[in-house]
Amino acid sequence: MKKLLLLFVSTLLVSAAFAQRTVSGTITDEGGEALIGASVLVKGTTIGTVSDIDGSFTLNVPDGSNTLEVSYTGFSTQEVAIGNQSNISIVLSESSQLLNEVVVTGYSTELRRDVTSSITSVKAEEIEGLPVQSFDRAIQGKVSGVQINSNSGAPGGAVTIRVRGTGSISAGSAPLIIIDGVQMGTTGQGTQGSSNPLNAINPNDIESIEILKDAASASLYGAQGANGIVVVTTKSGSRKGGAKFNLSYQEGVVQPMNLYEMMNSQQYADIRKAAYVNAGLSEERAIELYGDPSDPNLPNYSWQDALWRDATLRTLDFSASGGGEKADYYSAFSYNKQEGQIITNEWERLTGRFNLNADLSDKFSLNLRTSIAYVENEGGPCDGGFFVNCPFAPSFWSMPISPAVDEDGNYNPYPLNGDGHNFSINELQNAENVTRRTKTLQNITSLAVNYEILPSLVARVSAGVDYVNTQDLNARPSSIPVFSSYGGQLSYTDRITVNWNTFSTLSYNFTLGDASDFTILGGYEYKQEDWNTFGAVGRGIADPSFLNLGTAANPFSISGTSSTNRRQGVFGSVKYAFNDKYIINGTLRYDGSSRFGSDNRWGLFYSGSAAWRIGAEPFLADAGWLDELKLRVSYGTTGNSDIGDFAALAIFGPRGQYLGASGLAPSKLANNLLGWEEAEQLDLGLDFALAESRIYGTIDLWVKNNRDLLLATQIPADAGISNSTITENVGRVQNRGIDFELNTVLVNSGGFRWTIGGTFSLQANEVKELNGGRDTIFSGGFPQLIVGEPISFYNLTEYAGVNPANGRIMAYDRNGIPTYAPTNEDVKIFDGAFADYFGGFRSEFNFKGFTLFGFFQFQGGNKIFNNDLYSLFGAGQDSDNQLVSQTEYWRQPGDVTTVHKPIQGGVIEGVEQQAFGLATGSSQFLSDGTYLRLKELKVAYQFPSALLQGVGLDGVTIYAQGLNLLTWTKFDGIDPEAIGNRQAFTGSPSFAFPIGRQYAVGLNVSF
Amino acid sequence: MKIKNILALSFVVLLLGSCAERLEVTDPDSLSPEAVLDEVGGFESVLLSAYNRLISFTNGYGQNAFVAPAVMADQLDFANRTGRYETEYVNAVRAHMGRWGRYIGINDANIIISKIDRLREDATADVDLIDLYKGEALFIRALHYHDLAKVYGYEPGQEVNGFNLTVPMRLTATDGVSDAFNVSARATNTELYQQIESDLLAAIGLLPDVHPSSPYRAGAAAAHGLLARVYLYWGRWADAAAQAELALSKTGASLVEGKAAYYDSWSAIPHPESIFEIEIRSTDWSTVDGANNSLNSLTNNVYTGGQFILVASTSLVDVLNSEPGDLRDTIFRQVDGIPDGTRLLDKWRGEKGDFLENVPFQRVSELYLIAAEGYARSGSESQAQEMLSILRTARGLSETTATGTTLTNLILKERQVELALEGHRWYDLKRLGMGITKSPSANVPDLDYSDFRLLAPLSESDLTLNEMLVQNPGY
Repeated sequence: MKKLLLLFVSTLLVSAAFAQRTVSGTITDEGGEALIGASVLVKGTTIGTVSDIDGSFTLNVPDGSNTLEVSYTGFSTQEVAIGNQSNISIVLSESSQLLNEVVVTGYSTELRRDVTSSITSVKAEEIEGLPVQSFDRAIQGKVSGVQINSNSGAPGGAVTIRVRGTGSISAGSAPLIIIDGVQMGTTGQGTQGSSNPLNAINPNDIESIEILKDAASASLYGAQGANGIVVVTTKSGSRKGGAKFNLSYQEGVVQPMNLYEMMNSQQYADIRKAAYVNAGLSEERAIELYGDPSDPNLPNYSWQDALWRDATLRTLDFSASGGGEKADYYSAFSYNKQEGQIITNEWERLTGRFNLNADLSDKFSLNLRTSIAYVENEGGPCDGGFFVNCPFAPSFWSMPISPAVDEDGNYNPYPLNGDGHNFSINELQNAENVTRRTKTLQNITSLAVNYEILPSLVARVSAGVDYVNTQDLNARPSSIPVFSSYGGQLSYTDRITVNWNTFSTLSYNFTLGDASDFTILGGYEYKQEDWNTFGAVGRGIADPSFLNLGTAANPFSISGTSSTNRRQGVFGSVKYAFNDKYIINGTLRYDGSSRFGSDNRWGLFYSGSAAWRIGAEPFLADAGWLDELKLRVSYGTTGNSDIGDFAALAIFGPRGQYLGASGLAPSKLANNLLGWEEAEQLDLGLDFALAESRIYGTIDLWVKNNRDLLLATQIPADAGISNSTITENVGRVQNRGIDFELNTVLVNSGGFRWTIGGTFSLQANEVKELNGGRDTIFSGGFPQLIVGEPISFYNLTEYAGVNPANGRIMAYDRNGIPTYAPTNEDVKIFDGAFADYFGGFRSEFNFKGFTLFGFFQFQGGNKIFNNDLYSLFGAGQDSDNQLVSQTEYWRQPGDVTTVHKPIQGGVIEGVEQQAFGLATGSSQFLSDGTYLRLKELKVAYQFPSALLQGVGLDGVTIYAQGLNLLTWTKFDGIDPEAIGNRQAFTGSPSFAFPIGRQYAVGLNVSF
Repeated sequence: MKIKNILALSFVVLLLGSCAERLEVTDPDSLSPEAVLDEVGGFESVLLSAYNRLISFTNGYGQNAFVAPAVMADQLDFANRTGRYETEYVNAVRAHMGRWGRYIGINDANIIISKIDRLREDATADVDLIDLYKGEALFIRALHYHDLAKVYGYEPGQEVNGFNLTVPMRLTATDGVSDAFNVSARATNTELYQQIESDLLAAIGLLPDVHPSSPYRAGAAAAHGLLARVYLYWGRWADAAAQAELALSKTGASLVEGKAAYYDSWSAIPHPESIFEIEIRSTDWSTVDGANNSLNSLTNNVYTGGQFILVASTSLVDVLNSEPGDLRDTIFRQVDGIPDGTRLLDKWRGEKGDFLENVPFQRVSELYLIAAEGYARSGSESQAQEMLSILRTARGLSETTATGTTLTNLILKERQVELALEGHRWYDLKRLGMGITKSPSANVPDLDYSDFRLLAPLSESDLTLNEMLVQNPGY
């Protein structure tokens, strides 16, 4: 628009001038690419022009003028002496990226130099080519203040993203994700294995990711802004230089790492015998069931070897992009296949994309972005629990004395001998015979139409849809004994989610006087999310290969449900920049959500922010080393409406049947007063760039208060409501922290370039007050929130070791005295699951086409309660196989060990050993979750373009890379990352599926 | 261009206007309380939900209410150790019967009891149905409160150190959040028993002798039967005998005769001796509940994939064998692979397919036993002998002329065998102040009656939500 304006103005001026001499020339960037629309001005005059599509210009220069001023957005302005030349080649060099980077803020875009709030950008090159299924995994550790952990290491598994801490408990804490203007939904994913809604976007199609961290940047999103906003923009074609094709291919392996080391058969038989004898049961019976520990010929079967594998991965990406004067396009296709580390787990995806930006007329333009993804996930490991119907967790506890197959390769019954276990499921047979499959088809499309009412007044209407259809199939054949009583079963669930939003904005940009620049934006938005599911179950399946419901002899049950939520709001913002040095910005949004009680449906959110570009002040004008120094301050409020669709309504729902007629019962009580959870945030930031932007970075100090915290508080059970909680606004929680990002170019000479950079975030969380003057809110008999504590802590008994005298586990009671039988009053508060700090750092060397890139990611200060140990660290109290460490069990008085006396059933003198019969665990299983991980290591070589031009190629890069190569941690489980954020607040996950170590080689070709 | 301009703007305005009412949404899968409770059919739906809740595996008759009182006393041993019920077997502290969830069923009943009478104002209302549903709701509330009383408190007159508190009473519907937090202190055992008595007497006044859906829904006979049981626990012996006689006179069920008929009665649907039987259908279960949770899976070996972890203990088998000729030995089956001296107790057979069976809440044989005990302990020994002899002869044993403690011990012995794995043993020992005898295989000492583990711990979460609640002694 600015360019058009310039063109218009300069044409007028040129026609008015009288020519003395004509100068022509071309303007290109350093790569020789023509720059279209660059402004050329005769210095000291108002005479000028802009370059055309070939980068050429022609200008009449009056006598006495000898200098041209050439400027172009994103490039350093250059002054060129004309001398006696009549044809000048001008090469512009790109100016500091930091200042002129375009930042997408959702409803609009801004230049980095004008930004008054805290927004971090991640560019395509930081996420391209990584063998991950969704972009969230690719930006882990690369954005300060944003903590990202994989929930599950299964391919395509879910990921937790937290922008500036966790401010909510019962309401969601995940940021709003906007992809090309489409606000992504969170529901609709399949249930047969962990999955991530962001799998619908091929990371390689992404141009940039902006994370809006403070209230000033997020409050324009009002009701959904409290957890931060992630704005994803996909790629566009270039309007200059014809069609470009890019092809990339990658192939690699994924290896399990750091799995638990389990007992062999002799060790297992030994601890089982000890457990039997200690419980007063017969030693003969133990040997009959589990074998004689001294028998070297016991079958010794490794379930881990049978169920885990080195898996393969393969990705293929193809894109074609280009454009002309009026339009540009980007189209892409990708295929991605990754096997799981567990046998029969396979994840496959196809994506397609078409992006189009077109000028329909002088005034009208449109932006179309559409993508489709089809994902098929087979046999995803069910993680996060002691699940016996998936082979992941049972690969550890299945008995080594009970081989999965006999000599002929036929499945053995399980267990061959010993007490009943695993519901008689042979996990190898389970993995191979049971089908668990999710197919997901997801389309994300947005269309925006822009209309320039005046050059400075633009209307934009945008509509987008996120459509997800998932189909879950679970086939349980009758060949598995536990499913045989009903002849096997097929369950099928079809789920459709349509999540659409539309917004209209009007933006007006005008200048008053020389130095005052105003931008005003107003808009309206509506969002609706509808989902419905349909499921059917059939039983009596003649053959395990039948996977269609029609093959079931007996229709067994049907299910179906649907829900909806809606939100609408009006918003506006005003930005005022004075002299390009002082910038202030204010926003306002009024939002309503169908999820809230009728008395509290609407909320008003606002923000104000200001920036002072100190570096542009005259007193620093001489500081040539300083490119940018900007001080920012922002304050504002945002809302969180991420609660259940009907949380405020009193509800009678269907509740069972009796004698074939269905029942109804109250499932929830009304709460008309339920209202918005509101976050207010203060941010103080400093952006800096030094030494020709060789060193640049940003630092933010922030405090965020979530007021009217939404909590599903427990109601007394004798009230008799099956939903034992009611969502209430209970109090205020504060998160505060420091986000720091620094990038430096250490060396840049002689073709050798070495850059290092990193992010570091410090965070703290604290409950500041609870409504009604309470200092504690209880749940399940234990504190859930305590004023002065973080919202995450553990209620545990304090482990006091194993008594050498008798092998019994002890805990310290409330007076610090060891006891065998602690009570609830002895349960203490332990540090929780929130990391105190996290971040990442990288180093990159480039030399003559060679690149060596390394990236480390870390987090620390968090504690993990390792629930896996309940079954694996039980001193053989039941027939689960045990960690090898359990061989160190207590045998006789005087033994000093951490492994208690084995006893079948786990009870000594009326006291349960592991948990003391309490609903909590003991601090024995709490360990430090701090880790440092070599996340990425990549070696690449880019062939010289001179070599390629002969064969008609623009670029060829080959590379080899590794992910998760090394980890340093004290955590006693498999993977401190997968378990990371997932332990909600007082709970803890069991058997979170670990991520794997990946190696891949790849090739990129562009032509 | 001007026209397009106007069009674009009017589009925005249109969107604003048309969406203003879109924020009013309703849950397509639920109804408002007002919609449910404005006609008698809605109350029946609530009542059906209340019946359905009786099948809970964890606190109801689907599993725990029958298994726990047997395994925590001396009636069951392990055939297979999977971790389940192992802590209950050795009476580990806090390994007990949790019944706190029964308040949900109580609230269902309270909704009906406290609101259905409003419908009587409508002249066209079906008064018979209102009476019927209210009577059933009173029966269900009494059933739940008695089950709570048995677990959390001592029976009146059997207090240890005078501790006479039982569970708090909720007698009105929870309509809103303020009702939910309107908590009260624990009632005394006598207050609660009086409430149960009054509910059952009211139910008897409202119900027909036999419910049209008998034995799956409660009529007056079932209410008399439950009241007989309640009086027995209360030590009101003569009242217990009288109520048992009333129940016997009103029910259509009768004792089966002969060994084959007795054996087959456990596969019959319904059980021919049932006064009240809880019906379960396969849709009540998730896909693995049959193998995972059913009485059949835990105690029998009918289906592949079942668990078969619990068998009749050596001590129970000894009691059975103490009198030769007992035809009930037909359901104490000797099978391979179980410990010496134990038997598969073949009551729960999954006769409805796929581990599924109905659960008799009360059978006529229990009424004979209640009547016999009531008469015996209230001095009417000849009537006691008569009632006991009816049952004994039906089970292949001789008539009895025993008196005094020989008679009451014989009644108790008969209860052990006849009602095995039907949720009685622990409570029979407790209500009589006898302490808990243990199976020798459990390797733990018997529990004195004064042992704190006779009472279950109260829900810890409710103790923090209701400061008036006090925990049971010892926890």
